[in-house]
Amino acid sequence: MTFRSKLFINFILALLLSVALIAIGVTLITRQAFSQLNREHSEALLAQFQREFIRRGDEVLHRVKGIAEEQATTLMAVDLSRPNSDVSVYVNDARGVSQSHQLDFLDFVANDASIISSQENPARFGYKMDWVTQQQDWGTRGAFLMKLDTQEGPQLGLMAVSTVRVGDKNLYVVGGQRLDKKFLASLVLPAGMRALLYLNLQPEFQSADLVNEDGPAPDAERFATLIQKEQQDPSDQSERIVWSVYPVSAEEFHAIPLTGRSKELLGVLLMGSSQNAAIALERRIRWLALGVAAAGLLFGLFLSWWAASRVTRPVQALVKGTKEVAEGNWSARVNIRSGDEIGQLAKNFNGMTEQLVEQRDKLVQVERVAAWRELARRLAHELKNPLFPLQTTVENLQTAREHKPEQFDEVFRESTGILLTEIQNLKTIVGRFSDFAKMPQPELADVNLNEIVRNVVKLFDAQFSAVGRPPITPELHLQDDLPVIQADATLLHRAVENLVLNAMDAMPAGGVLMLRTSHKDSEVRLEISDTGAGLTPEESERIFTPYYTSKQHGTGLGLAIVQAVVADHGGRISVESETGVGTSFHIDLPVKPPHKSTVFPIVFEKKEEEA
Amino acid sequence: MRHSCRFHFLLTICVVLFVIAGAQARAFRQHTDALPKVWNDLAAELADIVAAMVSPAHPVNFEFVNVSGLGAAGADAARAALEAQLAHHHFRIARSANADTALRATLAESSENYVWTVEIRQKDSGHAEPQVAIVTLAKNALPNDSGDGQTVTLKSQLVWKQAKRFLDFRLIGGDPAPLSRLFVLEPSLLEVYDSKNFEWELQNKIAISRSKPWPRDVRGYLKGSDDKIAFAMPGISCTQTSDAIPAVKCEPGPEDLAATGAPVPGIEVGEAVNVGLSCGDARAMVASSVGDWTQADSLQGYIVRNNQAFASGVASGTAVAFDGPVVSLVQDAPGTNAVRAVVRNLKTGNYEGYLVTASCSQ
Amino acid sequence: MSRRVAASSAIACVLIPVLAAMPARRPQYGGTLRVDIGATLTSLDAGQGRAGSGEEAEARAQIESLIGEHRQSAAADAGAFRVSEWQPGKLLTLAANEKFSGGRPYVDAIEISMGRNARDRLLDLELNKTDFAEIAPQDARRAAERGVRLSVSQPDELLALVFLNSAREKARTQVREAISCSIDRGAVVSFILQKTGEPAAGLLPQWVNGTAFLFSMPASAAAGVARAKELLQQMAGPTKLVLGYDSADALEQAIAERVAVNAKEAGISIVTLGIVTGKTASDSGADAVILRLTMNSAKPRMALTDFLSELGKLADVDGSALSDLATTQDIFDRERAVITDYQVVPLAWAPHVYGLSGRVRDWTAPGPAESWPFADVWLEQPAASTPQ
Repeated sequence: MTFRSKLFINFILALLLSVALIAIGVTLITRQAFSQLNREHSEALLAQFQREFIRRGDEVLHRVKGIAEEQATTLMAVDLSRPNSDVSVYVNDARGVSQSHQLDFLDFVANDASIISSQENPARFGYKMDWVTQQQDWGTRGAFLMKLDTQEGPQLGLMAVSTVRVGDKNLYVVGGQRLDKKFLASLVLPAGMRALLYLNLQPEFQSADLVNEDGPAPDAERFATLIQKEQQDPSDQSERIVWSVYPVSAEEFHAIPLTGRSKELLGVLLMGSSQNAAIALERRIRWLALGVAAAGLLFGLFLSWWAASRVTRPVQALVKGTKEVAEGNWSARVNIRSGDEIGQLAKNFNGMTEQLVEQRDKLVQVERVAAWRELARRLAHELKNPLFPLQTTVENLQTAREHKPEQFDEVFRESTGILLTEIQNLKTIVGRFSDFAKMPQPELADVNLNEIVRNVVKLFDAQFSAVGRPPITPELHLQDDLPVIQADATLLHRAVENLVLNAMDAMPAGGVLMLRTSHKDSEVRLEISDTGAGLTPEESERIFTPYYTSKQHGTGLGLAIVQAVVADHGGRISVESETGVGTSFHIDLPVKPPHKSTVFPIVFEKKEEEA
Repeated sequence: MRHSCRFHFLLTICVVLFVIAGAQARAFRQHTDALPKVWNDLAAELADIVAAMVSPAHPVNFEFVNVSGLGAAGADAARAALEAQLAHHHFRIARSANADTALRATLAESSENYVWTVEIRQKDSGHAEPQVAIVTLAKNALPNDSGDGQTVTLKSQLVWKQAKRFLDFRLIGGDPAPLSRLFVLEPSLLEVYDSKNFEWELQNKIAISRSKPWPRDVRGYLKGSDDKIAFAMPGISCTQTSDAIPAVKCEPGPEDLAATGAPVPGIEVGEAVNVGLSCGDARAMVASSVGDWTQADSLQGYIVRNNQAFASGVASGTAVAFDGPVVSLVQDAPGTNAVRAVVRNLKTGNYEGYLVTASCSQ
Repeated sequence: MSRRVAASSAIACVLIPVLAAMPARRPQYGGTLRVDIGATLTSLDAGQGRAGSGEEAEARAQIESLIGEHRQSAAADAGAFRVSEWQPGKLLTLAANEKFSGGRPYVDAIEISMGRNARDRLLDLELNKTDFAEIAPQDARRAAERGVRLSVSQPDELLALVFLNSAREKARTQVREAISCSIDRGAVVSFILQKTGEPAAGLLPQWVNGTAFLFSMPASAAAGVARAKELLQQMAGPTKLVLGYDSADALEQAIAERVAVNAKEAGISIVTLGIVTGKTASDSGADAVILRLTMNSAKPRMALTDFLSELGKLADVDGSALSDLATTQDIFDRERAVITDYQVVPLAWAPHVYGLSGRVRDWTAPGPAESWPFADVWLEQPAASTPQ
């Protein structure tokens, strides 16, 4: 990944992170704000409900007191205060009075707690309503909630009690209004909010007992959990109910317990606040934030790219320069005019490459001198061997002429034979040097390496199975789709020949010669392996040294030539060997050779100079 | 001598025993003679049925309840008769209430019959229904002299009405003859009206006074004949002296006026007066109801049988209701079948004078 | 007659000339008797007898007794009245039959307004817009308080709770007895009937057979409930019954609801069910019903026979007639046999209550199955000028 890309990505990441953090922050704050708003709404609604409840209770109390203060009620009380008074005459009074005073429930109760007349339960005359007489201070008490058993079943009522006292006897007026859907309808609710009332008249949750302003509430069973929690712990609680797969359908319900005189739970008021608006707004904000973030991101992308480009351009130049240098063009220069660190870096780079060139030139000089010295040394060494027998032979001739003339002819014949042989050796040595020196620069063309390998193998085919020597089995593992490389076919052929010859020489007892080609990335590989005796590590180090040979014969230039060819093609050669197993030569050639540079095969492996 | 002494002693004992037995027999006969024969027969029949249902071997608890219209005296007589008949069947009535068998006799009636029952309960019967013996006596089977079957019918007629309190009134003259004079007695005044052209004209006002205050519950009654009227008030008694211009002469009289009414035997009523009316062999009375002067009242006819042993009044006929209390009730004239009632109308506050006539019908 | 103020101005008194104010003692002829009935009769066809609802049947029978068989005839053998105007369902006007063998009725005509409900009849009486109307027993006391003149018959209508044949398995003897014990009859009479009636423990009222007192009721409501609980302790499982009543009858509804309340205290759950007019009790799904049985005779044998016949159609009761020679004891024994089985639980006897205007004279309440004695009734005519 380029520096520009990294820089760009870093810019983008930083931007994304910032935007994400901002978006999350905004969302959280918005959510909190809406929660707070919801809470305030609910509290306001609760306050309104409580006010309405109190107002309704006051109204009930006022009506009940009104009934108690009526003359007819007073007359009833007076009549009932007499001994043996006839209660039956009033048995139907409650109905008419309750209707005229718009009360749903009304009972006239005598001093002994017996019901005189009942609106909601007309047949219960004579039965006791003990709880009425157990309280002495009805005058100071306000309205309260109560569960009543009526002909239609248990109902919840907002009740009040007023007392008419005549002498030492009381007449109690117990009246109230039903707490049902009509009460809910009287609540003024803001948009998005609704109220439900659960009448806790049964021990277990009953769906039918949950009402809204229109009657039984739909999907009542969804509230079962909340109601059951209230039944276990009557306190303000809340629960969010999501009605469908869409979050906007959620509603936040606050449950407010409605308790009776003995703090028993008689009902639960559920105030529902639709989350639709909040969620929609939240979503809108989120989308807006995302939109802004996307726009910002795009802008940031562009900006980042431009900034990265500007920042990385000199770096790229530097990279290009270093690449050129790596490729061998040490005269590469970076043209960056900047006062910052990059500019300084470019300046330093340029200086560095200048120095490198100088150093290289010097090094080349030194290497040339060293190479000449080495060549001279090698030449001296190589030439010295055949020259000694020459000298000895000539001295023998001289000796024989002088001292043993009778053997001179024979000595002459032997000596001339030795002289010719050694001269031939000299010629061979010179020839090899000449060959080595005359190795041309490769002329690049499209070359199929597989073809060269096949040709070389074909060339040595007869020798592999020559009579009188153990056979050598060639194995070809040539990659079919090996790409064509830019190379000199002749030089490569020669290199491969040398390696095959070398391998054959390493398998005097026969064996397997394996040739493999493969391709990886922009290079092709040629492996030539034998199953000979292998090389020691020291031999491996020196094997490419010219004139180094482990063979009894040979000039020792074969692998050096191979190395030179490989080097001229911009490739690499390496050897792996294991004694007793075999040796593998690996040649890696680029598909397209690099820029031509002065490549001088560096063969220095040994440190001490041979004598 | 010893024989005669013994004889005399024995004779004395016999006489004493005879007298005692005779007295008891007389008492028994008095009791039984006090009941018409049909009742005795009924008691005997009932006792026979009871004896057939339960053995008299052990003592029994006996209870008698009267829920019929017979008066206390008649009920007592009936009880005695039944006890006697049970005794005749050898039933012994236990003194304590722990007997194994309890007999509860009830004297009741329906519209047509008297119904006499005896419920026989065994102590260990639990909630089981008791045995019941029933005998009946048709009311129309009773002899006529019992006065049963008679109905007293009352008809009232409003005669006078005024806002100021008055104690009594008297019409001189009657239907169909044109009325000529109306006396209205007030606590301090006697007013005399004459009828002229079907209108009352005040003829005279006679002041009545006395040295000391009138009693709070002042009463006064107009009496006398059609020709001369008289009246009595606490401490004063007056008599008409002339016709043309009615004038009266007064003299001191008793402070407590004699009661004008009579009780209805066996029944608690307000004020009651006899009416000169015979319903069979019974006499008729008219009485107001029990109550005070803050309550509406009515006049009810009663049949009272002449047989003292059965002297109890029985309400007869439909009562005449008023809108207030009857504050004064007096027979219009001795031997007449009419009574005068002064009523305080609680609705209007007026005092109203009614002439109520009684008649008997079968 | 005009009122004369006394000459003496010191006394303010009201004089009423006796002549003018004297109520007539002999019947007066003339006037139209205005009658309100609740039934709506659309046909006066002869021979329908007691067809239709109870109210219609009664009204039809009463009218038939007034007009006889020859409805529009003025012959001597016809009824005391004849039909002079007929607006089906609205108004029936009867004219006096001048030649009636029993003597021409005192009133010239009877104007019968139909379809007047109980409340309207009461209002008409209070406002003097009618002379005669039958009043529900439970309204009698209130009517009297409002100044309506009342005539009350002997109690001749039995209000009873009857267990239907279909509920034989569900409502066993102990349950029936428990329900009977739990009912506070006194409260039913005092509160629901407003003391116009008597608690009933037997089928016949005291005035008919004279033996009603022999049928016992619990000494008190509490004792009854205790006895009911004692009976129910022997039963396994809760008891639940459906008690039906005529949905158009407020009295039956009030009684049914009270019975349910009483029974609930004893541990029996009773659900009340209004049965619409036209539906039979056995089809309603009720286990028991509140029944109103009107006596058709003052004779105890005939009255009981008639009751048993009606009851036998609904409940497991021997509905066979009593012998003509049945004595009071026989009647009592037969009555007790029905009562002790608790298939029929008498609750109360109620009378017929009639409201009369101030001008109606010589009215006597008819006995069971007797017709309205309109031929004997006369109307007091007002004076020429009313004294003030």
